[in-house]
Amino acid sequence: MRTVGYADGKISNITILTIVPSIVIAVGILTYPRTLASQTEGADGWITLLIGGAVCACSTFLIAKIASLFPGQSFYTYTSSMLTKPIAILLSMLFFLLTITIVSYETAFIANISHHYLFEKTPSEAINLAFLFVVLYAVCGERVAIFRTGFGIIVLTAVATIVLVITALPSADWNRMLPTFTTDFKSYLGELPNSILSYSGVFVLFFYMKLTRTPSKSVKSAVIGAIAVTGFYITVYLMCIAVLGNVSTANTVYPLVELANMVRSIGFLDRIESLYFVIWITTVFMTTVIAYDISVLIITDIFPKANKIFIAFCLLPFVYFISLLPTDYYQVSDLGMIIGYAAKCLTIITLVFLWIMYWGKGRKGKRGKS
Amino acid sequence: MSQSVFTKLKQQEKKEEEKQLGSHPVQPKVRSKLSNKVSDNLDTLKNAIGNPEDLNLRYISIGKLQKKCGIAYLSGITDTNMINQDIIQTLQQNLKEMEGSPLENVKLEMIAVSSVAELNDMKEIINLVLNGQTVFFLEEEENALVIGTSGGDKRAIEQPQSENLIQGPREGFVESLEVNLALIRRNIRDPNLRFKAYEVGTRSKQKLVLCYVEDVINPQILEEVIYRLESIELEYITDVSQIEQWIEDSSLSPFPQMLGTERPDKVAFEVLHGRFAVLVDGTPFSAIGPVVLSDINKSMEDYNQRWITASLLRILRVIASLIALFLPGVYIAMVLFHPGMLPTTLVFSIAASREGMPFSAIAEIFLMAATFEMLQEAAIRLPRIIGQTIGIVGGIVIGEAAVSAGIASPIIVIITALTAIASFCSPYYSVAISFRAVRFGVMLICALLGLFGLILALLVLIIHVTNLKSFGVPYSFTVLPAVKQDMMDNIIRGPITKVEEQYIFLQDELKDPNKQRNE
Repeated sequence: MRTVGYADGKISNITILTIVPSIVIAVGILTYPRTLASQTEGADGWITLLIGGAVCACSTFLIAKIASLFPGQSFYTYTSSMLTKPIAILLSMLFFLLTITIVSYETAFIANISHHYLFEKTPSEAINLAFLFVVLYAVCGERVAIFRTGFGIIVLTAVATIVLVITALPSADWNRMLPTFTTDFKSYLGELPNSILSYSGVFVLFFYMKLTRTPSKSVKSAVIGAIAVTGFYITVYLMCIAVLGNVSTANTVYPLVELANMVRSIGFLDRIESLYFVIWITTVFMTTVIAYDISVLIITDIFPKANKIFIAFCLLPFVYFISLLPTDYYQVSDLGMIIGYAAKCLTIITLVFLWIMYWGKGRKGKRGKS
Repeated sequence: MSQSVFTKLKQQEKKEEEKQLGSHPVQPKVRSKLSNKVSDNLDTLKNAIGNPEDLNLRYISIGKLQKKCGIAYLSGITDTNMINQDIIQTLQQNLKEMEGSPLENVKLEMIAVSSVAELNDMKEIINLVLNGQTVFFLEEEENALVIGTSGGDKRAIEQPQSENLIQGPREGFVESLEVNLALIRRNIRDPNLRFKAYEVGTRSKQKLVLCYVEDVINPQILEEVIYRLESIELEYITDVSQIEQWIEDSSLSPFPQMLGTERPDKVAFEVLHGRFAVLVDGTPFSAIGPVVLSDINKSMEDYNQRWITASLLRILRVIASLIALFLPGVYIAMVLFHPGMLPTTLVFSIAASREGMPFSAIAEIFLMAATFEMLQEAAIRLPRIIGQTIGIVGGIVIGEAAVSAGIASPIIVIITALTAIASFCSPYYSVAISFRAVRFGVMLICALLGLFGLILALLVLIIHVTNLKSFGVPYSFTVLPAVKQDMMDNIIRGPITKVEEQYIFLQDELKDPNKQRNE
């Protein structure tokens, strides 16, 4: 029998490759050109983006590598074998809180931006709830189905962005990129955390690597995914600068949507920025679904007998409640900032602990053998 | 989600079965062993089926052998010529001396019909007589002969009514299973073609045939479909779609998990590509499975046209299904929530056409859509002779009167008409009607949440399709994720030399859902 191999709940390398952009590209894509442009001169922001991407690729490699060393084992299993059970539970719980907050944050952001671009009258509570119900529907299904949906959405986003970049080319003024390398070193340093934060989310690989068919090869795919995100971010940023210019990029709330706004009269649609906005909603949706799924996965890893659908439903009120807490744009973006830092810290701490223990134990093992 | 509706049904079914064994309808008490007297046997048979009008009993005697014998059959479902000439005549005219057992002699030398079986169980004999066979009793014999004489009037083979092709075979299935099997067999002269027969219908005792090609079909799919077919408990099967509903994975899905067809060439094609087909006696439709999303877009026409034309037609159908699903919803979202997205001139013309309208845009489009649905339904139900009336009435109501009376704006009429045309582009009626329901759902959510609602509806559909399975095969396969080898016969239909002979995605190792259940 020829095998493409499917329906066994395992995921392929290509899926892993698409998971990374699925989780990383979220609401950040709409805002990061602004924060970046406000601190740097001309188009110089791409340097920090590149460094951020490199950091992201490195952390992706480290996360995927350590997880692939324990093929088929869940995060809880291998952390408890490395770092004892209480620490494993503590880490799992921290990640659980983090993912729950991410779900709420993305939902709050969606409601906020929908108010801004799509409708003013509809109450954000209703938007939140409708969005969360669809997320819940996805989480209640098969995990593989989520990845299939994610694959489709990533392709859609990529195609849409390429179309956007191509259609925006005529309005691009390359002189706006100049002069280059005028930003001073301090500004780069100050901007770097922001860039790194734009790439948060790769920690999901801690949990998803156990699903891959060939763990050792998936590491490479994951890193390629991270590099693809870097390329994507840099392209979008350069386009924003070339079309809008540094100053207006720095002063627009959602530069990417404005970029779409510059592209007028394609076919019979007049203002296609809402259309693009809708496409970016799907990528945010994907991030939310993955975060939600991870939070459910953490619980089912610790309690293997728990019913997945039951847990997903139980989490909904909490998520909904947290998503209603931030009332305006600034609070939402503050929440995003907190989440970004929390995710980075947690990932780094986990990584450091795991690798130290792994090296320690590996040496011990070697000594024991010799 | 982990447990399909089908599984639940099946379990429920089993429990009930355990509670009361023998849920079959009460059979009249029949002595199962045959007596050695012909008159006794004929009486038993007569009483068992209530001496109906169409039962023919006849005593005859065999030429030289001076023994009483009798035959019984149901007229109408038997071939009377065959009974007269090949049974009665040959028996009566027999002048040969007999050696050994007389019944054996009759079986081997006299009856000139190809299918003859010797039986001694009355219940079985009754069943066979009800199927159109003739039973022959001989005095002093405890066995009877059952002779295959089923026949009677059948509809002639005609052009399929529901699936028209410009180019391609003109034959369609008929109500007789035998004819249908012959039609398939004529297309596939392969020794590996299998017709596996089942009896379904606790009262109707209809024959069901599972058709597949042994070395092509994935054994796991086969195992699964056999498992499901054996679970069927219906009294009477009006059409193969009842079987379809019984064995499908999800009964809540708007997407068909098996496709009905009345084309023998379609069945032959799909069976050779690794699928199975289910045929039931008494209906010209057969059901094909497993089905994936891209299949609901394929017509046999695609293979009979040159590849560029065929591919363009397929893309056209994809666009048509998107229009059929989303156009009214998009219109509602645009007009109600985002008029800014439309070109200014279009907004003005829409606004001008809607001026003075008594209803809101939503009420208007729901009204028109509902009218159209009713029109469609009425056109199907009306007798053919007055069927044209509905066309005229509909044309006037939808086209002219509604606009001139100021109830609907012209643009709504265009939207409704475009949606209608698009929904009829689907090669399968079952797909077209289930899309109608989805369309109304999309309209509703767009009326509530605009473009945001539209994207949510789209996401729900995608998630549903990626979760759905047809006989263990993920429904989204060949699209999400794409299967490389099947790309050439998917959304496009590649050059004939490039298309794989079998569907690769069906040939894969599937995790057996059956085993998963038992664990």
